[in-house]
Amino acid sequence: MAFANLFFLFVFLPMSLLLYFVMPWVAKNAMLLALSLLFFSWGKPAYLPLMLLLILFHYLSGLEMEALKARGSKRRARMVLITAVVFDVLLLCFFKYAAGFVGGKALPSPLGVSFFTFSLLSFLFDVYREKAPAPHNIIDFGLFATFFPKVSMGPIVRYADMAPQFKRHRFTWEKFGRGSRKFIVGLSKKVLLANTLGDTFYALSALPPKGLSACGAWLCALSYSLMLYFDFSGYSDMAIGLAEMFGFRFEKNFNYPYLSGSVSEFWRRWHMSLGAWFKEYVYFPLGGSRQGTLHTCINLMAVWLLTGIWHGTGACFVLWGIYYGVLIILEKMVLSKAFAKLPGFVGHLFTLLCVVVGWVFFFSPSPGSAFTLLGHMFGAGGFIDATARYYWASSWRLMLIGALACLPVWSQLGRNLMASGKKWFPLSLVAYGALLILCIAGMTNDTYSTFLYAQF
Amino acid sequence: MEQPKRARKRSERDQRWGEHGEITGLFLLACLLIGVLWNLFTPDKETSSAENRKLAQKPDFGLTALTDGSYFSSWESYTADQFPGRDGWITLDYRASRLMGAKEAGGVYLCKDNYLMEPPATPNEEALGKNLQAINDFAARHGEVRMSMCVVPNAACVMKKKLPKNAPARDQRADIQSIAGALQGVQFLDVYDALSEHAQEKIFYRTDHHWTSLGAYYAFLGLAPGLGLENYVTDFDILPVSNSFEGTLSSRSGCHAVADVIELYVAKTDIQYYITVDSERKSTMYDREKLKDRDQYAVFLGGNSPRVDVTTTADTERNLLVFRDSYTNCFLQFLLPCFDHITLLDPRYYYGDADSVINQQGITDVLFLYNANTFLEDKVLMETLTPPQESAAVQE
Repeated sequence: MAFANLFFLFVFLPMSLLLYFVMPWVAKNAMLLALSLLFFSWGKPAYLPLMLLLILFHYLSGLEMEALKARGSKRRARMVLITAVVFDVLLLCFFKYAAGFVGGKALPSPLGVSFFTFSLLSFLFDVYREKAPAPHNIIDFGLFATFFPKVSMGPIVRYADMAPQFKRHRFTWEKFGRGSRKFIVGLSKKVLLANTLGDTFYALSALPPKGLSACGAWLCALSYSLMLYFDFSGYSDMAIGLAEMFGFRFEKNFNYPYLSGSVSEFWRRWHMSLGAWFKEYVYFPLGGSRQGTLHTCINLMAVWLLTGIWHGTGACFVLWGIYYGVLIILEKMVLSKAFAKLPGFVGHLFTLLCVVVGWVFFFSPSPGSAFTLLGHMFGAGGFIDATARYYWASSWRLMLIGALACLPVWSQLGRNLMASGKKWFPLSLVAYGALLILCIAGMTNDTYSTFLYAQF
Repeated sequence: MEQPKRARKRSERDQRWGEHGEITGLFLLACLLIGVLWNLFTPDKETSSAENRKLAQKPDFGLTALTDGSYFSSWESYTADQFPGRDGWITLDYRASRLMGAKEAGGVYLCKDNYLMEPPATPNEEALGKNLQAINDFAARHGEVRMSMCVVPNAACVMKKKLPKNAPARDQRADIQSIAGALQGVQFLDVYDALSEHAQEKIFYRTDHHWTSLGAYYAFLGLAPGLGLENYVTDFDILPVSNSFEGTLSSRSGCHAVADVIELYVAKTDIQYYITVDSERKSTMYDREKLKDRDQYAVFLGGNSPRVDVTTTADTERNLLVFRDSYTNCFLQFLLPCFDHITLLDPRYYYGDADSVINQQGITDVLFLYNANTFLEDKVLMETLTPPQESAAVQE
């Protein structure tokens, strides 16, 4: 089930809120777990037993690691950790990479397999490293694994961040209001911007790349860049907002990434929970940047190759990972010093260029078509043609609005309106209402859209 | 004392509401509640006349549906299809996207002069090849019968000038010409010129993918010599029967800017006819009841049906068989006075075999009459044209 759909908004969400409200405090987490399991198995109920087994397996592994550590047998705790981690990684690989070969027919993946396995891995590491105590309540732990706002597409909440909230999360109207606003903003990003930008992108990418002029190829790449941002950050906003409506707090997942002044900064602002995960559980354990230049480079390459493969196995994702590994190493060694001497906008432009080129690899079906499209972006197919004129004419307003929506001024404006008390406050309510109505119209007219990141 | 205290309290409360915005939470809750109640108290509809399709109904609970997941996904389509005010929401979305400069909506070109047009279809090459082969084989089996084919170009081809500027529409003329080139033993009748001469007139509906009676009339004048017709009727009573027709393209796009006029062309002649649709005999090819429905184009022949038989008093000793799509519903008006007997087969719904029709009805003329978008994507004509023993052999 996706969030941006009428069924979720007018059946699942109201039902969840009602059931959550009427439950006494002691049973609220259990209610949320039941709802989350329903959400998870929606459409693919065959995976419900798998999820239940996973919850039980990790719950027991956590308890065992804690007990072994308490008895001082660190080596055996390590064995438990390794066993569980290998199991998770194999499971992820099975569904993501090997599924295509089993019986010649692709097995449908469980909802959010890339995201929830990473969450479970963080749990294993955090308990092993004693960053958080092992859960003693299997309901709380089940909720961590499957909480429906985050199960399908993240944020990849780390166990140490969520564990303290099980007992202490409290529903307040203040949080509910803040969550609602985030949810409406996220829904608008997805329905009003990502879906409509998608019309342009999908129309252009369906054309043979050889037929595109520079203007058409750039529109293709730029519309994808904006669409992906609004699609994924919109989803994250909705997830964080929903969690907050139920009293939980997740860290933000996007922080205006397209305003970054360097590529490394971009990755600290884009899909922050994945970046933080790789840093915490791969980069630092490998030694980070403390063991000399060569070692740092190797570590960075390892992290970026894994990041690429996490998104998919195609040659394009591998290339995309290597591309960022190389860029970030280059930036660390050479570019950052050079940019420091140049005016600030150079770094921003350079970053945007790198990111857009990166997305071309990301969305292209094969490296060949990616290079063809890049060639056409830089003039291999002429400057402009009728097709490009047509699509620019129909989408320039949307592209402009999209570009403006990447700026932080709007949320600042919204916050100021909120804080202005009675005077301007009704205006913000009208704005949220209008967004919601437009979203409903968009969802009614578009029954088949899915989230892009759901495929990873 | 009382007054300032209350005032202070109120301003504190204002500030609190303002800062924390609990109100937005209550606002969302209220919206959800309204939505839920509105959904609950809106009775379910069987079909959408605006979209011309069946709507999803409340899913049946069952063990298989539950385990394979279809129970869950049907709930989603059920909610979406039965969402109250669906047409209004779609129109709102159309308005918003138009404001943003969209040149298409719901896969429909938003053209000049309030025209809505389907983009020219991309041929289904494999099925097209098989269909053409089946047509040629059919013609070879029935050498004594006069075989003609006409693929009518769609609005986006004939009225190219009305398309949005620079629209990347496929060249449908080339597709039609390649069909013409592939035919053997079948004469191809090109109506492009006959229609494009009148591209400024209302030869297609603005809100529907069909041609108007006027368009069919011009096409008929262009086709008649090729069909070997002599002394055919060119004088018609033109009867406007509706000025409120909003066709399928209107509902697909959500654009309801204009409504179309439907005109009937009734031949000025003494020739009488009766018509059999689904073994029901009628004295007219028009079904005025359908003007009350959304899809008023069904006034012609009452909509699509597998087989239609017409018997007339024309006394021309010619019997016509037409393989056709819905463009023929309207075109039949012009064929009526020209043949003793006319059989229309719509291969999308007709499962019998065509060879026996030729023998039973003493067919002298065969016409394949399709609009280009339907024919280029058609996957069923070859099955109707294949003799039953052969198709049985193929199945074995």
